[in-house]
Amino acid sequence: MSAARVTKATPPRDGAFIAGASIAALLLLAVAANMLGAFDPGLALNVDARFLAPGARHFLGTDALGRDVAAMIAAGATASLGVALCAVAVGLLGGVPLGLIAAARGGLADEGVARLNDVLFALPPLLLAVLLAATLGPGALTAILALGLFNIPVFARITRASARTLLTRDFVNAARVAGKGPLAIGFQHLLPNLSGLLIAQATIQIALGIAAEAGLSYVGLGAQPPAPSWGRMLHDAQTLTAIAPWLAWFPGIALAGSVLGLSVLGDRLRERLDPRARR
Amino acid sequence: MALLTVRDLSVEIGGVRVLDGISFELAAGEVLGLVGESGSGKSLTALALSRLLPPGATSTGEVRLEDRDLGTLSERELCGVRGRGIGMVFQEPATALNPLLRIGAQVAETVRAHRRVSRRDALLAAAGALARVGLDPGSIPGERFPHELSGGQRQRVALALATVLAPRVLIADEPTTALDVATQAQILALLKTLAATEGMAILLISHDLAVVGQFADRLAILNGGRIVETGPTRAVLGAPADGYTRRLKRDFGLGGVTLAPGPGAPRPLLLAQDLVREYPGARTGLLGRRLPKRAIDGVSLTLAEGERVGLVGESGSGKSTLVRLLLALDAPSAGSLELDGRRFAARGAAPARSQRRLVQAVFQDPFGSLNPRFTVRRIIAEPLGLLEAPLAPAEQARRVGRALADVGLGADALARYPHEFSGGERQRIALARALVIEPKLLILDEAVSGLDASLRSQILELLAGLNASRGLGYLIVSHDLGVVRATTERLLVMHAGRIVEAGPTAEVLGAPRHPYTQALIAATPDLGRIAGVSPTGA
Repeated sequence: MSAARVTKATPPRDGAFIAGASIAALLLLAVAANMLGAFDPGLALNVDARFLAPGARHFLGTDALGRDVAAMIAAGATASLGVALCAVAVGLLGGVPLGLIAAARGGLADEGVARLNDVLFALPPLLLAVLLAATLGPGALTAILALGLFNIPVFARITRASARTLLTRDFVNAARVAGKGPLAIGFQHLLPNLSGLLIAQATIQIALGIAAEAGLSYVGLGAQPPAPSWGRMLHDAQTLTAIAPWLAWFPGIALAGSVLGLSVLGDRLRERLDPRARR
Repeated sequence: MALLTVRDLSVEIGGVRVLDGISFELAAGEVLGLVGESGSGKSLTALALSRLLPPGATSTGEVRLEDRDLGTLSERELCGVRGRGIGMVFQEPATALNPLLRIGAQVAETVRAHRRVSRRDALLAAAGALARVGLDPGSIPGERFPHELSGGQRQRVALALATVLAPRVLIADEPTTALDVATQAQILALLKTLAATEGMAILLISHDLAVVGQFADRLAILNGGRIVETGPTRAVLGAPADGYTRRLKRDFGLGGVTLAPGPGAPRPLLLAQDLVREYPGARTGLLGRRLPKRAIDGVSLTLAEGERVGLVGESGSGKSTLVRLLLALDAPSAGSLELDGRRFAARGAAPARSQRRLVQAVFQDPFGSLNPRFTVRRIIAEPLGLLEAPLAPAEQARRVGRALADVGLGADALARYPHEFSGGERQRIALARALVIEPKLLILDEAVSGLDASLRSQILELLAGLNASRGLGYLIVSHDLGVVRATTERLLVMHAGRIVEAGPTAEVLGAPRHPYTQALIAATPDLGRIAGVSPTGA
């Protein structure tokens, strides 16, 4: 009935995708190396070697306490990525069930979830983090809770929207005729079909989480010393820009590169995994 | 003298010959029907005629419009030919129109693209063209936007676009496939009038033998990129010379479907009483009450074991809502359903597995009814969860294999995913899923509507066979009167949420009493009414 379509067999080479994936891999490598203690020598205090400019021995220089900036950045990836990953996990665990319930039940449940989303979207994240820090004390857990809470509506919304279209598909009707209950339909029919979209969105949220974590630790609400973190490195560098400007450059580059790389990766993943976004 | 002469037209895409030596002639005032199944090259023929082939396709042969050889024209000259010489109408009226342009301006734009006339004159010409296709300026002015029109009206606008420059040849590619039966009849009549009054030559392309048979003067049957038979409609349909044409006609008339004698003393299986399904409607005012809208308004019916029943009705008549109620996918607002002597689908209560086992369904859309992430094995095995105890893996594999064999697919399909199959094959997988639990009643919700005649015929023959061998009863919901005539013994006609007529299929179709049924039958093209053609004989 339709004219034969000529389709390209190989997808075009995608530089942005490869760059984003490389940055993600580099971040994971840094976290793994840090867990094995690879950066501990560089993190040791050495007042004799403070404020060394980038050079052969410390290729990104040293800070006011003589710590190696390259080692601090690599080790700081742990705090950034750890907080962002946990926050996304909170968002997924909270948001996906809410979105599924809203899509499946409709009516009051749908309305309730929508209002909850609106309330969460309306709250400024930084104020909530300050509030949580006041009650729980500052630290990684505070950052995870504050950021995770704001990931919930993001995942609830995309889950609800996609699940609603999936629920109208006849394979869901067929599953009901085959006697499948709501839980079985949710796990077997909805989640596998949502997974691509969720993975892509999670990647984007990790990028946003890294940026937000840096913001929180910049104001002292994130990871606490001596654990290195990009946000606090920037904070400490602020008063020293005249003496040692590299202290601000390199954490800044690491932060911007990670956020940009992961955002691009998430966008590309969404394009690749979501059939509706495909041309 | 012929207006359009096609000689030895062939098209190759990627080294594969998809059209192979097509030749025909089209005279002024003549309607030539080009009939074929999916993939036969019908649409490609239309595109090749006006040199609109997709990139990567190469064509050879001669296409002559009066005395001009279209093959020798430049792209610029061709643009003049398209529209002025050859007009085209396609299947989907919604996508053929620009949603942001008023219909009058849209038609006028075409005029101004081809002729140097003032905006005013173009709009006048557009108004004339719209009036000619039956869009009366009093009720449907040219200031309307496409979204303000119905599907049939939009197809009329598309027709006005194609005919405003008074082309000598009109190519209509499945122009009524997306429309309902009544609108289809109007559009086809309009085409016929245009051919007669304007002396236009029309190439009517369709998969529907009845549509083409009723409206075309001559037929060309296309199979695998070749014209296998051509001649006057009556001759071709009355005494097909070619084997493929004979098979197409037999498949189309469902001549291969034979119904076993009905059950002697039928036991009622599914009993519906005074079913009502209401949806909240629009508010009457800002603070007014929501008036409930009744999709199903007091329907009672009985389906007996092994009975073969048809349900027809236009879109929006409540057919689909009724099917959802019968399948317990939705609960009725009032009324009761009984299955196998026990209540079924009450509000808030999940139906028992032992009841679910009795009724299975095949849905309309073969692309939406299979989970793309499941293998065929897992899809077909899904209803086996309705058994009280899980089956041993060997027994499960045996039953899945048998269901797949029943629908005529090989065991190599089991490990594959739905996207690897064609629409017809997917529908057979959906049928295997419904059969694996050996239900007593199968509900087919427009399940054969989108299929080619040969596939439709195969699936319906299979159903009739299962009815004879296992006593499987079925309810076929369809808008296709030919299907229900061949496969059912009792017919229900639905209109505005009610069953307006019920009785033996032959009686209802032969002597319809309700005005809606009469109108439906009158509007449906029917091989049987083409003089000199017996609907099923080969």
